[in-house]
Amino acid sequence: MPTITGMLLIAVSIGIGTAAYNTANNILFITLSLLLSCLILSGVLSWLNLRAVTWRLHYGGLWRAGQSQVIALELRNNNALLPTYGLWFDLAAGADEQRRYLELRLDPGAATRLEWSVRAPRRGLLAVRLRAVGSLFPFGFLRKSVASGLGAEVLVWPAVVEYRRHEESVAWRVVRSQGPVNRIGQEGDLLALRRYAPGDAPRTVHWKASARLRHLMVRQFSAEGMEGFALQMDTDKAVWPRSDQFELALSLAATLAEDLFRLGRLQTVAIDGETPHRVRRWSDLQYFIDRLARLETSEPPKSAARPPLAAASVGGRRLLHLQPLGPRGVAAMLDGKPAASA
Amino acid sequence: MANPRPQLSPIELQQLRWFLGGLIGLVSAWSVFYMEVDAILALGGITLTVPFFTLYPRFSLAVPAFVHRLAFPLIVTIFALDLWGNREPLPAMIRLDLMLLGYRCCSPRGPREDLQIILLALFLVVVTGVFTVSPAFVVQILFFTGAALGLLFAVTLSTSRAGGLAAHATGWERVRWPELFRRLRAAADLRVVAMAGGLFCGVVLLSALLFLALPRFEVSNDFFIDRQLTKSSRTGFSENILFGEVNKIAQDSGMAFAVDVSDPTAVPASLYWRMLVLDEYSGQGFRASAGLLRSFAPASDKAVAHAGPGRASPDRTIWTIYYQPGVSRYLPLLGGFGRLYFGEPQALAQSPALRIAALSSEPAKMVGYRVEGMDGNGALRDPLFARDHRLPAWRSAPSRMFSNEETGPARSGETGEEPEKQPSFLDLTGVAAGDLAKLRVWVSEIGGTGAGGPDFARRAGAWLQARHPYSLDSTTPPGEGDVLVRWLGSRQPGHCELFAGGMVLLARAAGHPVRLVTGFKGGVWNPTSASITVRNSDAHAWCEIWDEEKGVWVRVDATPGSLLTPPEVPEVLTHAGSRMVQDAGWSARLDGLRVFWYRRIVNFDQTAQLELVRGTKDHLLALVRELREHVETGGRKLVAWFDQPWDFPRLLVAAASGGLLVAGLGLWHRYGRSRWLAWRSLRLASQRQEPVRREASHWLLKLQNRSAALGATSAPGLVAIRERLLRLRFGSRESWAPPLEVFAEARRQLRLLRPLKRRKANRR
Repeated sequence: MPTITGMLLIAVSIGIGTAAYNTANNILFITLSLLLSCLILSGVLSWLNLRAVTWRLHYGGLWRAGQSQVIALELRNNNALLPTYGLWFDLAAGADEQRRYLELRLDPGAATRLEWSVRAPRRGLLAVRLRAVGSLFPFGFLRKSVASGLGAEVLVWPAVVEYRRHEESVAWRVVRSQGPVNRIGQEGDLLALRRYAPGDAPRTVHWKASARLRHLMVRQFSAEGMEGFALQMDTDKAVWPRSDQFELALSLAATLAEDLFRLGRLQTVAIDGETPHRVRRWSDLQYFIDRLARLETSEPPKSAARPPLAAASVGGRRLLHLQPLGPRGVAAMLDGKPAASA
Repeated sequence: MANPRPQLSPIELQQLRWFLGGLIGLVSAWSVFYMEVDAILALGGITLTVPFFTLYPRFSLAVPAFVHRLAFPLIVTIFALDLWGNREPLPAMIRLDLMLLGYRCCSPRGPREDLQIILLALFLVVVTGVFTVSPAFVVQILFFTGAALGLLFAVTLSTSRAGGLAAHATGWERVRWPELFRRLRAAADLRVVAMAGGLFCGVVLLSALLFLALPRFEVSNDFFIDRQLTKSSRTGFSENILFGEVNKIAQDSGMAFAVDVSDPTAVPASLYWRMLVLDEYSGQGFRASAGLLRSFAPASDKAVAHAGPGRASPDRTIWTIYYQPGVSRYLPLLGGFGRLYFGEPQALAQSPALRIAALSSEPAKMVGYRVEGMDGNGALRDPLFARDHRLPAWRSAPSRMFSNEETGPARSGETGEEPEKQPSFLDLTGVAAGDLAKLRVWVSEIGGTGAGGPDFARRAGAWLQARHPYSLDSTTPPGEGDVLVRWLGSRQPGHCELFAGGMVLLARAAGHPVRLVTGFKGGVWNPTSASITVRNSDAHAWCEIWDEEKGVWVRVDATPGSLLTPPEVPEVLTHAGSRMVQDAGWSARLDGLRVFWYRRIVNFDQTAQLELVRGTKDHLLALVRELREHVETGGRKLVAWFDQPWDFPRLLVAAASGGLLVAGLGLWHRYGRSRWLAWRSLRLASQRQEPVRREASHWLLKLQNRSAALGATSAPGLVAIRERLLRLRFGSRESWAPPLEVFAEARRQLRLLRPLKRRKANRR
C-alpha cells in the first residue's frame, strides 16, 4: 500500500506524465521515467529487505490468567550482503495488538530478539499470532506488510488466588504436627519401585534399579499417601450458578493443587464423578490444571442428585472438594468443614 | 550477535536529514540561474541563508515562534502581489517556490517538511530542465534523485527509530559536522555503499529503458510553461544591426547550433548559414526595411511540418539542426528548402522571396528542426524580382518594385492606393551627396560598371581586399561624413560587416541590386558526434548581388580569406569530416555530448521510437535467422557425415565422441552436480527449499524404498547413513557432515544392495 509519500510520488508522476504526453517534451519523459524507476527500486529494495530474514516466535512458559508473559521473537538476517532495516512486527494476543520496531540495523548474519509483554485476561485458550511483518523501507513510498502466518493457541491456566487456610482444620494441623518433610510417605515398609517424579527426594532413588533400567527409579513406601489429599472439582451448574464464583473456584482448585503438590500431599484429582487420577509427577498436575483451564459448568444430571463423595471412595484419602461460600466466596471443604476459602 | 559497525543515533539521523535537505534546496535553487527569471533577490537570499543555517542549525531554533507563524502568510502575500504586478504566472511561481524552499531549508523540519523540500526542489529542477533543454539537466536530475532518495532513506530510518512517530530528536542542533561524517563513514559498509551505487546505476539504466519504452503519442496543448516566459535576444541577430554587432557575437565561442547531416559527402565546401537579409542602409548599420519585412507571410498555425518556399532542391540530404536558445528567432538555413519539421509544433513565418524563416518569438530553449531539400549552392533564384527588375518602372522607382509570392505583389500602378514602401536593394538615400561622389569615383576606379553584378562584385571585392586587411579589432577613421565611406577611403583593417557594407555601397553606386546578409559561416566537424558545430564565433556578414543574366541572387563574400563568389563549376565533394576543420579537445567532446543529448534524447519521438523498435526487431530477427542457419547447416553437415561410408577412422571419431559425451555426463554426475548443489546451497542458505536438504530427502526416500523392498533396513551401514542423511535433512547446518561425502556414501550403500537384489531376483 502506498504511504502519503508514495501517494505524492504517484500524483507527481501522473502530473508529469500528463504534461509529458501533452507536450511531447522529453525532459518530462525523463523525469517520469526516473520517478517510475524510483518506485520500482523501492519495491525491489523492500523485497530484498525482507527476503532473507527469518523469525521464530517463543511463546514463553506457563500462562496464568492475570499475569504477564513475555513473547519473544528471534530474528535472523540470513543475507550474506545486505543489512535489514526498519521492520516492524504486529503481534495479536487475543484482542490485544502490539507493534514492535526493529530500531537498529540487523547486519548480515546477525540475530536479534524482540519481546512483547502480554497479559492474559482470562483462563482458557488464547490465540497468539504474529499478524504481520511490515516495513516502510527504503524510501517510505510503500507500506509493505506480509502476513506471517506464525502463531499458536496457548493455554492459560486459572489465575492464582490468595486463599485463607482455616487453621482449625485437621488438614493443616497434621502437617504441622509432623514437622517439615520433603515428601510424605518415606516411612513404613517398602511397597514397590516406581519411576522418579519431580519432587522425589534423592535419597529415595534406587540406584541399582535405575542403572539396570536406564532411568531413575525410586522406592515407594507404605506410608506414602497416608496423609495425602484427594482434590475434587464439581462443575454442576446447579452448584455454581454464578460464573464469577465458578471462575474463583477453578482458580482456588488450581492454586490448592499446586500448593499441595509442592507439599507432596496431593494424591489424586478428579473432576465431577470421574475416577480419581493419581498425581505423582508434575505432568499429572499440569494435565489436571490444563483441564481446569478449559473447564465449563455442566448441566445438572436429570436423575437423582449426585451423591457427595465419601472419603472412602477415594481410597481413604482426605477429600477436598470445592463448594460455594456465601454469594461470592468459595471454600475447599474437608469432612464438611472448610479447610481453605477464597 | 552484536552489530560490529556503529549505528547512527536518531540525533545523527536528524542532522543528516538537515544537511541533505539544505543541500537539495541550495542546488535546486541555483538551477534557476540558468533561466531568465528575475529572481535575483530570492536567489541571493537562499545563497546566503541556506548554507549558514545548514552549517549552524542552532540558529534556526533561535528564530522566534511568531516569525514561523507569519512566514507562510507573508510569502503568499508577496506571491499575490508579484502575480498582480507582473502578470507573469510562471516567474511568480518560481519566485514563490524559491521563497518557500528558502524558508523550509532554514526552519526546523520533521519528515513532512523534508518531503516539502523534495517537492519544491523537484519543481525547480524540472522547470529549469524544460526551459533550458540542456544536458546539464541530466546531472541536476541525477544529483537530485540521489540526494532525495538519501533524504527519504534517512527519514524512513528516523521514523522507524521513533516508533512510527515523527518525533523531533532533541539536541540535534548541536552538530559537529566532521564528527558526523566520521560516524557516517564508520556506519557505512563498503559492500552496501557499492551495492547502493550499483542500484543507483540500475535506476539510471531502468530509467533509460523506460524512457525508450514509454509509449509516445502527442496530445498537443498550447498552454505550456516554456511559453509563459518572455525572453529577449542575447545576440545581435535582429532586424536592425549596427556595425560591430555581428563582430561582437563573434567574440563568443559558445555553440550557436549543431548540425547533423544524413550524408556528410553532400555538405557544400562553403557553408553560409543565412539568417537575415537587410536592405536599408542607415549610416550606422543595416536594417530590414518595412517593405522587406512585409515580404514575410503571416506566421502559420502551429504545426510540426512546414512546406518550404517555391521549388526546392532535389537534394535528398536531411539536415537536422539543434538551434541553441538566445541566438535569434531567425533560423539558420543554407537557402531554400523543401520541407521543414520541428520536434514540437511551431508557428513559422517565411519570406519565400528572401528564403528566410523565423519563429514567432525567440525560443527560450533549444529548438530542433529537420530540413529536407535544402539548397546551399549560393545562388538563389528569384523569377519575380527578375521580371520586375526588367520593367522600366524599376529603373525609375526601384524601391517600389518587389514581389511577394505569398501575399501578392503591391506593384505600382496596379491599384489606385498610395504604393507601399518596397525593399530598397539600390537605395543610397542615406548617403550624402559628397560621399556618393566618392563612391562613384571608386566605382569607376574598380571598373566593370557595364558588366553583370557578380563580375562587378569580384572586381570590387578584389579592390576592397587590396586596400583593407582583415581584423576583428577594426576601427573606422574619424572625420566627417558617412562612416562606411570613411572606412572605404582609408586603408584601415576591417571586419566582415565593414567589407560586406562597403560592397553594398559600391555595388549600389554602380547600379547593381545588392543586399546584406547576416548569419554564420562555416563550422567545424566534431568527430565525437559526427556532426557540424557552428559557434557564435562563426557569426558573419556577407552580400547577395543580383545576377541579371541568370535571374539569381549570387552570394558575394568580400571578407579576406573567403571565396568572393561561389565557384562556377560544381565541386567534387568528399566526406565533410575529411574536408572541414576538426574540432578536438574537451570542449568538442562536451559539444559532442550535447549533440548526442539533442539527437537521442531531446529529439526522441514516436518516429524515433518506432525506428528503434523496428531496428531492434530486425536485429533480433537477423540474429534468430543467423542462429537457425547455423543450426541447420550444422545439422546438414552431421547428416552428411553420417551418410558417408563408415571406415575405421570415422568409427574411431564416432566412438571417441560418444565416449566423451558419456564421460562428460559421468563427470557432471560425479563432481559437477555436487558442486552445483553446494554452490546453490550456499546461495539459498536462508530458504527452506535448500537444495542440500532436498537432495538428502531424495536419498533418504531412495534408501528407504530399496532397503524395505530387500528387507535390509537394519544393516549397520544403512542405519549410519540414514542418520547422517536425516541430519542433513532436518538438522542445523552446524551439525552437518560434508554433504558431498554423505551423498557419496549413500550412493555406495545403494550399490552394496545390488547383490541382494540380484539374489532375490534369482530366487524368484
